[in-house]
Amino acid sequence: MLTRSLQLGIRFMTGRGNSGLTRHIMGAVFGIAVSLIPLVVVLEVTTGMIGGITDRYLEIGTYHIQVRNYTQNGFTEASGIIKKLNSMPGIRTAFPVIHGVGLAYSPTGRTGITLKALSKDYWDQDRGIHQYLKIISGSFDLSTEDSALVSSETAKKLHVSVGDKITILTARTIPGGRTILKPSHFTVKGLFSTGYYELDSLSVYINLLKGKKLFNDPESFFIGVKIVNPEKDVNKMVHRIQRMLQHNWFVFTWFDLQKPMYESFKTTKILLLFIMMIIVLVAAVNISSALVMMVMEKEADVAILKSTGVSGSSIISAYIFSGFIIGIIGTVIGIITGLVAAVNINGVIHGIQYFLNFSESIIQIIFSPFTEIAFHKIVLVNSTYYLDRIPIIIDFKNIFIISTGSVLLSTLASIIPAFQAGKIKPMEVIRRQ
Amino acid sequence: MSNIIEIQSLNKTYKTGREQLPVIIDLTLNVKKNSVLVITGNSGSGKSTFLNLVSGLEVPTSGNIYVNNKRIDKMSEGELSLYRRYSIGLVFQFHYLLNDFTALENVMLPLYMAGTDKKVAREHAYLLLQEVGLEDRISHFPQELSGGERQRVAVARALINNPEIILADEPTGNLDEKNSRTVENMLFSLVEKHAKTLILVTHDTTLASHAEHHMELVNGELHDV
Repeated sequence: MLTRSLQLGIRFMTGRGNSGLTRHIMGAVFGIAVSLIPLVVVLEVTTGMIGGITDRYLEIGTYHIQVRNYTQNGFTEASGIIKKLNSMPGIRTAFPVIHGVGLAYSPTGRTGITLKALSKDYWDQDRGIHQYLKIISGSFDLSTEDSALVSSETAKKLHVSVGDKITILTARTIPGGRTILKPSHFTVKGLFSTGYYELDSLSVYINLLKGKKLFNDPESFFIGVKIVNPEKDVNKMVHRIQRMLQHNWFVFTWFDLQKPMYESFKTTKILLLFIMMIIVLVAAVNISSALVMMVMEKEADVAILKSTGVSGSSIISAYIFSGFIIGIIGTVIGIITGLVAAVNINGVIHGIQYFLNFSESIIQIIFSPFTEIAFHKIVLVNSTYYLDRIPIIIDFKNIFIISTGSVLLSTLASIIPAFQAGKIKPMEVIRRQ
Repeated sequence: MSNIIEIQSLNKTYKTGREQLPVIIDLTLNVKKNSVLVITGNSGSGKSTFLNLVSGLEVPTSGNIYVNNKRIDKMSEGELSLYRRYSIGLVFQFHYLLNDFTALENVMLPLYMAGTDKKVAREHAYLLLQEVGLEDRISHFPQELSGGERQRVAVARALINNPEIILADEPTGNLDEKNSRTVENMLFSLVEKHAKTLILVTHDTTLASHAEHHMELVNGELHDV
């Protein structure tokens, strides 16, 4: 019986001889489709952006796991622990890192920096970094104690390029509690970029042995660990590592180390999706209105069908199926269009940006004889503060949830008009006719 | 022959504000199975209301209506749907065909929606349209048919679920003389051929000549003629 109601619903929507959707129904389908486009784009772009930033932090910033020891024994015990970690299943690589802060200066510029001291074979040891850290010029060369790799942003501030000399001023606490400042001279061996401003802005990499000399504070040292599956297995690996270590070693996950940032990403994404869902809700209300129109238009048909013995429940089912079909068609169109827009979001943004700047230049030409207002170049996504390119990750699980939700909302929106149709009293309508 | 319809002390009063308008007054009637009853009366005499009460489209103010010994005036909406689906076929003054459906679809729809296989419903509908002489018009939409043809489609639709009773309310009221006679003859011959009970209400007294029983409704009261 439900198949028959479905066919009746389709017939009500398509009108005479299945000649295509009626105007109201087309409007409702269009509404659902259009409302889903921004939702899908926002979902994919935020997933991509968050994923892009998170992956960079994981591979370049905090690493997957940090193993720390806050005593002087840390340095001496580290090599044995790194050896054990590197032979542990599930671990890609483990390596020593010393980090600290300093002031870098060149003859023409100076800036505060964060220093990371890495072993000279780190580049060959950690393949994960290759995906996100691009060597713009020179090479990843930390072979000598005066070697330095400078981020492109830092290089801009210092006005240096490969082969130039820089001086880094670091502070060191000596026995007795006094702090002494020490200038060290380096040669820029390479310029790099991670594609993310936050990681690029102040970074300088130096040789591990040099780092040990500059920062003898045990808090500056840790063992960076990269595991096979940082998203799923991190807690499992932390437990394994903790079991292997002595009590004076502490293990931190990438999530512990940047928790506020990840929580903020998560909250922002949920809020954006919630706002977008409101648009879908409005579109669902539109379905309800379209079906109310269909009830009014088909009132006589429903009345005559009921007078021939078609039950109210069959009529209700026909209208609910109509809402369901509108939801399915609208969702399919909206999701596909949204995905196409999301996948091409970089091109879309550049296209819009180009159009806006072109329009602005036309306006400038027209009004230049009358005004001296300075027009500025419009930049929609400033890569200085975000990723230089929005990475798109198709989040199929969430796409499925959104699609199901959209079809469900469309079906729910049809319930009121459906019951309205089911309650039609044939005699009242026939008398009016 | 047994009674298929038994009506006892039927009253129908419409309320308009404070005023009460009695349309059917203390009507008692038995209709025998396979008989043809024509009820004539002037406009406003309560003819259509009477048919609506028998078809379950309206509820009486008081009195009982039994069809095949089942009391229809106390039926639920679901029971009334089944009653209208299997026990009666309705023909109105206006054809009330579904404009978006072809002649064949209009006829087959009540049978198909009742759960019959699509192919069977289509064949059955085709045979009925053949009987009313419209086999070459099956794929035409109501707007593409003449008034007489539409009414013939409506008659075929009334017969599709093979009901025992046909209730016809001024079936020729909107037709010209020639078409009226065609529809009228066809209706009576189909009722006879398929052994149906027919109650036909009309203001056209010439139609009464076809009937075994002719009654007249005058101011809500039924009289033998």
